[in-house]
Amino acid sequence: MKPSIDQSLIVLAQELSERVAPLIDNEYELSRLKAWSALLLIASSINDDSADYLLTENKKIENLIEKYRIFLQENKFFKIYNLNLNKEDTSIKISSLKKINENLRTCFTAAHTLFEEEENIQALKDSWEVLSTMQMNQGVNRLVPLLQVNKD
Amino acid sequence: MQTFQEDLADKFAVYFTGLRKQPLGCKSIQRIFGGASRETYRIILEEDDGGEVNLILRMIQESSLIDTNQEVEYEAYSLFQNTNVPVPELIKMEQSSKYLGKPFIIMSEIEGQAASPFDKESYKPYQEEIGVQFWTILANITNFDISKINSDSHISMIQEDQNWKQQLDYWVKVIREDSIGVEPILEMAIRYLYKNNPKDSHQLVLVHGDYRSGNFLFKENIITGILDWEMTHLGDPLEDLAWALSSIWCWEEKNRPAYLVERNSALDIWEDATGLTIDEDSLFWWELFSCVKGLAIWISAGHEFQSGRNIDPINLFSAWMPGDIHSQAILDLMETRVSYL
Repeated sequence: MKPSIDQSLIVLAQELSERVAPLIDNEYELSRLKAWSALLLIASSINDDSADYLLTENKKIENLIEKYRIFLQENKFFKIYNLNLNKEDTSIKISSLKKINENLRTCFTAAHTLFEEEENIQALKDSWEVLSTMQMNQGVNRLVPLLQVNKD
Repeated sequence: MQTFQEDLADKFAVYFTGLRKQPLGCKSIQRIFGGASRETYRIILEEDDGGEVNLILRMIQESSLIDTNQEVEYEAYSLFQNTNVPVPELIKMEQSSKYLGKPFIIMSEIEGQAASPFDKESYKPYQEEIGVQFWTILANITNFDISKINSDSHISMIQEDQNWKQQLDYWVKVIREDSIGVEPILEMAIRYLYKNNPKDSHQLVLVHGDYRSGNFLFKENIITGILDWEMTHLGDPLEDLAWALSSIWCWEEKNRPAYLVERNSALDIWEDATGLTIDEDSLFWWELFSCVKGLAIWISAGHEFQSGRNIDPINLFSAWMPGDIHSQAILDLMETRVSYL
């Protein structure tokens, strides 16, 4: 088993702030380096979960649209939007999952707009759950303390 | 071989010597980190007799997040020289690129430090005193007599009615131009804002445009200068208030906006000092608008970074962190309003 990319990024961030930063006199360049170090820490904390988050979000959107297929069909939704776009690439690369996600997010936004216009209350409640999942995966609350640690 | 900064220092000393008509040499030049719309330098010039002149040089960025006009910034600072809104003393605006390679503004350096808007400890132990000043100064800006603004001003003159829509249209356009992905939470907020407009205030005021924690200097318990006026425009009195209140600037203590005084106290100070009464629904609208405006700025930052035009880490940081925070802020705000939850 090799050391992980995440661990390597954490070590790189530490090296930059503890060994390289003290060698730099220029205040601006020092701040810039420290910012990169903080960003590496953030990257290391989100990298491992990225594929899982995308898969979860994609599934949630697909399930929502499937649940309201008849409603959406009645509103000619599928004449414009295609859930299966970009799915020819079946790999679980993050870039492939992101492409699928972009299309699904476009579909979701259109469906959500339609639910609002038609005041479909249950669909709006279900859409809110999808939005909450999207946001939960951004991990904001987890990342803010990380910045505090690195502010110096 | 000279570095870019040494070369800039030499050119600046020559320029300033010409301006002051007395020989001056550059003792030090230091770029200030942060801020994405201008390159800002702290410069110390030395006079023949050993005296020092401490200056701030703000140069147009070749690639900045939002297109901002140098004349607007200069004019905004001009309006508040020697008033109850502390600002640095203006020295010169140079529109030509022939001296330093880019247009620039020179100001006197004022004492004080700027804090990170994400650090809840920044103003301790003076958060109460600074808080009273912060919200009072905002009220002073709101109270500014806009009839003093010249008719040929670069500060945008907008209609009194529907100024909310002009602002919203502007930032939505930025989002449409710079988005590198679909943001369903942001889209929901945009739809809500267009459908549920705020009351027209029928009172145009001067809006700083980026009045918040981190955009002022303070020394111990005194605010010494309000900075970053490049987004100044005329608009609704609640626009600046809502931006300053935004939870992004107090994420870990949401009831203490800007990590200063508690929200209710902040609103009381502002109402007392402006004589205006806050309409809660309108303030809600402007707070949600602040999230959309914020996301537009963060999206724009991400676009700059992704395109390679400006790989300053501040742009990557802006795209990653504040963007996520403002998305969460949208959900938090909408949760209090949508009837189906």
